[in-house]
Amino acid sequence: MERNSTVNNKIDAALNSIENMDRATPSPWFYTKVMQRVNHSHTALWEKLIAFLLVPRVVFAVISFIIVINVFVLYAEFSSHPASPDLTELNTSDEYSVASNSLYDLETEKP
Amino acid sequence: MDEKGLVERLKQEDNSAFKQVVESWQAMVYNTILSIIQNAEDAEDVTQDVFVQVYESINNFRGDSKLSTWLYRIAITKAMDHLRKKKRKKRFAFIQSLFGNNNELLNDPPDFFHPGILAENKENAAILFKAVATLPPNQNTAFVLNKIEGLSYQEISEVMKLSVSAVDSLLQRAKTNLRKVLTKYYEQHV
Repeated sequence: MERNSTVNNKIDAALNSIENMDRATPSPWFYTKVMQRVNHSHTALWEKLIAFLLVPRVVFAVISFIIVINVFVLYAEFSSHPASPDLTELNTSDEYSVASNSLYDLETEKP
Repeated sequence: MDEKGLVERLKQEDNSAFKQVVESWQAMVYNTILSIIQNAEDAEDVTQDVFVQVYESINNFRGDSKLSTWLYRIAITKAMDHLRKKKRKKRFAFIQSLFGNNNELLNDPPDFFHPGILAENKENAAILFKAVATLPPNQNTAFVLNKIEGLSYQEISEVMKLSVSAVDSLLQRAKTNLRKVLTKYYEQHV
């Protein structure tokens, strides 16, 4: 009984210990420290962006993306303009082959 | 203080207005966070975070509540986030949690002495703060706002976005839980 009363008194003392307490205040120059953080958070954004772009996985992904785009563009280019023989070239090559055949024939002819 | 004018100047990135806000409310924010986190160094860091957030997101403040209410909300959110991060770190480091399943004060953290407590009450207050740390977040918040910050039930309901009856219920449960925890503690130590 006495023990219960003692415990209850201690509990009440604990619960009442925060009566009339003062507010705690932060350390001096608090505003200056806050402004340093505010200014740092603005510059830090750029630093974070650059740091992100320099991550190896990001670099690899960007280069891969550029290569894929280039391959796609080249493929699209070749698909739309397939290689077609030029008639002028054909005629020229025919004449060349006739001329060279004649020359060969002359050289191989036995005297 | 003309709050509307102050908020307008803040939105225009007027540093003198921001200085006024910091100087007017730093003690309120710091005291709230300190009472929740119970560590002076961490509380100062988190308080700085609160004002940095105020500076960066003042345009999100719609003015449908008082500036102090908004500050309290940010402070409590950041304090609770800090506690959660601390708990996660402890779990990963395989250190036992402060909270037991039966609300016992398990591992004894260093005693927290609030600088605003009268000298003759410091020991009792340290025991009380340990018990407060075992409360669930909502009860902890309501207790700190009512008993330490001295807010009325109406003001607490605006900060926590709850009804007054919900706040009343939270505080009743907080007191009951604190009595349970303190009873167990004193039965072992008397």
